[in-house]
Amino acid sequence: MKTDFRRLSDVALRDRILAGDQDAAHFLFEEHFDALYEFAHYRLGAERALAEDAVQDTFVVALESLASFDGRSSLHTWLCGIAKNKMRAQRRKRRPVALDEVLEGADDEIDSILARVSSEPLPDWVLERKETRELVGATLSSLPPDYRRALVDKYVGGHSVAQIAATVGKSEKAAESMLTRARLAFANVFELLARKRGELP
Amino acid sequence: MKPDGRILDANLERLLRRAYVQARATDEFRERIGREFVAAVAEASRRRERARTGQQPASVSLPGSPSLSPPINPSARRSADVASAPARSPVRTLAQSPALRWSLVAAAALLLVFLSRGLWPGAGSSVPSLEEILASGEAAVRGAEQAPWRAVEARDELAHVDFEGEFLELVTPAGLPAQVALAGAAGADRWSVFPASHVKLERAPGAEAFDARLLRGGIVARNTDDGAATQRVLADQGETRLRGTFDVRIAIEAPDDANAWSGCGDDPSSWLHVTVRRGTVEVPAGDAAGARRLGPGDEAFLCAGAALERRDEAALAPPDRTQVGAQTPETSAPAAAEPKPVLRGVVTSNGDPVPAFEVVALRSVSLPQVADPLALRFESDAGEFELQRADAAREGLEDGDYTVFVKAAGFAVARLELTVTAGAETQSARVELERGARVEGLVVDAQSGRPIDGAYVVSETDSQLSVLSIAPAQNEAFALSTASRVGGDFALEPLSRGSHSLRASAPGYGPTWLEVRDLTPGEARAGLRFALRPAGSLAGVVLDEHERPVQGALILASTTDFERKRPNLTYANTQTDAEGRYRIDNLSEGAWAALNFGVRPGAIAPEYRFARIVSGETTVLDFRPTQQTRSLVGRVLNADGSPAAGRTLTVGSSEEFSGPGDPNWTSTNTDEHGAYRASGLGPGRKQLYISGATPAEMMSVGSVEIGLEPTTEHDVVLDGVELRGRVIDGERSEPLAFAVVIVVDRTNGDGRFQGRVFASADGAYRFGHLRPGVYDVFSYATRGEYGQEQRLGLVVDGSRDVENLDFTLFAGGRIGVRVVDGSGAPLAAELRFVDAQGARVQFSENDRTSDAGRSTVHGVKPGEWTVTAQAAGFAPASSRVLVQAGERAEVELVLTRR
Repeated sequence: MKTDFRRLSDVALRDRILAGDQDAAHFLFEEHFDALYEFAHYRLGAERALAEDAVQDTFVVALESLASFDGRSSLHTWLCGIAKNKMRAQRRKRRPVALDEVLEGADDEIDSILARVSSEPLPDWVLERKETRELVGATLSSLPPDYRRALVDKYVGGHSVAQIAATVGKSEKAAESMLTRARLAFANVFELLARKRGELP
Repeated sequence: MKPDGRILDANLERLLRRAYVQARATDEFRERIGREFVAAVAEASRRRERARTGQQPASVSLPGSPSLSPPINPSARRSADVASAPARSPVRTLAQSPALRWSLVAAAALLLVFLSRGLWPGAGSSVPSLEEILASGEAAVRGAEQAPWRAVEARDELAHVDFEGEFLELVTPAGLPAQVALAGAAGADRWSVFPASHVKLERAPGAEAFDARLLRGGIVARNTDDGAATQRVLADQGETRLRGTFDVRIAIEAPDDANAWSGCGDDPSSWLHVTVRRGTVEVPAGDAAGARRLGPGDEAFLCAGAALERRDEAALAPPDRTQVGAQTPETSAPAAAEPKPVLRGVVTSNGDPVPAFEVVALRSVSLPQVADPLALRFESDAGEFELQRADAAREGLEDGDYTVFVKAAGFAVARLELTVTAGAETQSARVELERGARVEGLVVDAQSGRPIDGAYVVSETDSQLSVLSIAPAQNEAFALSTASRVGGDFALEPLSRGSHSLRASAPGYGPTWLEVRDLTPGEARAGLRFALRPAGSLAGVVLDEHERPVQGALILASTTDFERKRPNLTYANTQTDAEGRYRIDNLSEGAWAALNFGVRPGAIAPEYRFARIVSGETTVLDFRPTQQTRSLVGRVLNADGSPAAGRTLTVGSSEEFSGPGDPNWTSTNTDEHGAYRASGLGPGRKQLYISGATPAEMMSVGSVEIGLEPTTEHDVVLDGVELRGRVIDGERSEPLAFAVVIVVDRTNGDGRFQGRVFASADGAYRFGHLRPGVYDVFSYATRGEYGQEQRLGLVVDGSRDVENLDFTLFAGGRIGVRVVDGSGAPLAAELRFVDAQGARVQFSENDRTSDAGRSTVHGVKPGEWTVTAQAAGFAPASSRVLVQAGERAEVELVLTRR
């Protein structure tokens, strides 16, 4: 019977991979590659070659040190931690750049609007701005893969909660609950980044 | 502005539909990385399988030494042991899974640690635990077995720890590539410990020798006094004792890094004599391929680098090499490694052998270490048994102190104490089993008096565990228990002689204890009465760092028996469901500790909380990773981009700096790449200061916002304008050495401390990294006979890289300040000093009186001053004072409550 890897905990998945389960390795890759790439993309000034280097190095290190993953954080956070270290090492060879510097500078007005995404309707003109697109991408890439996928499925793909539930193998109630948490997580990160970029209080 | 779910939902839909363009890797890159990753997993697995099946190199050729044959196959020894061991069979242990068992014992251990340190909520203790220190990315060190741990900054390549006493224990965080140097006690040699995670150094009272133990991996090196020779030792798994030619023993367990092995001198006097007691020792072959593995009982010499020889193989034997045991691998008989038993005994009843019985050995561990009960069943017409020391090939007893329980059907448990040490003589014991005592009584509802049937009644005294579950099934093999019958009556037997702690619990009722004193064999004591109160519950949710529910986390609640009146700790456990929820019922009213072991018990230190359980109510306790401290990492670079190595970076959590030891401030050093790591930070904006010519100098290099992420990255570039000049002794017209220059940033009108530097012996000072702005600059002499000078409102516009500012100091005086309240009680108050021109002058980073209400400022420029004191809850008070050169002026300020 084929294993539903989505039902495995991160630690159980790790154990399967350490035992040489190639399907489990494939699942980990599929689950985390896109998010990791996007994570690197937005932190390396959208330079493809740099992002590719960081992602490749991350998977190499992840495999080498997978046994040390102890479940204290999620696998996504752990992988992003490795990627951050790699990107830091890359940046050492270049001019140091922080995320808020990588993000295109925006005027205070835009950032102050974006910083209120959970409480005020966004004006249309803001949606067209490059600064907004960058912030959306940077935010989504910071979320765990299941949150990211659920938000994209719902708002970009237009999937119903029932469809999302079927995709992730959960009850509708559980999927709705996950969506709620994903929305809040998005808002938290989005507002944090907007405030950080706009140097807002 | 309050969050609104509907607005957020609508905004998200628009944002993601209209402003989201996924950053995608190229198909070619994605496909290639995926393929390589999966293939690498398969290859890694094959490598591990090859290593597991013992496909070791056939031989090892070391430079200058004969080739060595492969080691004995450990499995051969194991078979021989089984054949020669007394008939025995394992019995079921405490819990279903080893991991759970581990965590239960650990939970108890952890609680005891809390209790012993007084770390009870409200006690106000801020002593960090070992786990907390390691979690913050720092190494932990302590100077005595029972002493509290303290953090040692281990982020550097090299950390220094002073070893001044008789004992030192150091633990570094897992995975930290720390290279730790341990400086020996006065007169002792210097030790270095290479990538190691846990090391102990101990000197026996009055002894010259030190014992070094690497408990979790690593390499020990010992440098001689002149530093000319270094011995390095690398071990694999298990414990290895190494005796040097210089009265030094080294015990090593489970190192994890083979890379630090390198060749060094071949002076025979520096060779180490190796005897493997347990496990194996693997010696890499330097630049040759492969490794040499020694098993239990093997002896060899280790010389400095990778040289390893046996006496009979050595062409260039050093004089003392005759110490080496002469067993060739080919002829080493497994039986030769057969150890003698540590305990041999006979079990009798009324002098007759008992043919079938069980022996349970429970190790007394030095908390918070953990130990499992080891149970062995013996069948012998002569009633004989023997216990052996454990080694790599044999299950048995680790070194330590044990309580050994002997049990047989129809008899009370018998107990004896045993110490297991290497080389100890075999102990003999004759265990006489007794029929035991019987207790009878009732279990009732404390409120209604109604009998409770099915209550679980257990003797903690006779249980062979250190922790005892509320759930009977989890104690089954190791506890003497019974259940109350309809009518609430119960009888429990056979109990060992002496006093007992009995516990009763039932579904819906919390556990209750009774003490029964001085039971004698054959006695039947009736009339016990357990009055159970309705239970309370503990419930909550476990969330990860993204606020997602954690499914399958092990949650454990344990009683807190402060005075250790009872032999066992009582616990109950459960796991979280898909929504991260947990619920533990049947807890008694009072204080309980709740521990979250996560989804992989034993892998990480448990997170703990304390809960007050109320009868009939549910106490809610959530585990959210919000209390994690955060780290700030990055590099410090010079203006030209080169790394600023060896600098001290100070991170301040508040604008107020109360001097060294301020808990809101922390300092760290940059490594050779300019990299730094500051740990243990809370979220919020931090001020950063970099050191100057000495670590005591500090200059502001901006601020950084610590967010909610575990790690914030921030690089510091040391550019900006430099203020430089000289401080002159106006009385003698010569440079004033070691004067202090303090800079205050007035750009935003709030007077933020910008830093301080010291003048060198020629009176010169340099204060760097100023941004364009307005500054007040003060100069003081470190000796009090000079009055301070200042330049207020210095404008730095950034048009020049360097600004010049000299000071000339003349004789000054002192001001002694005393602050009291209306009753005359001393007050710690903040002080402000304003000179005749209306300029506020700070004489230190934070001018204030001590708890005794006193402060003396030196180096005050002669003239009239206004001194103001203020303290929370009091109205400020001011007084004028005339300061004269060489004189001390006194001011007393009385503050009245608002």
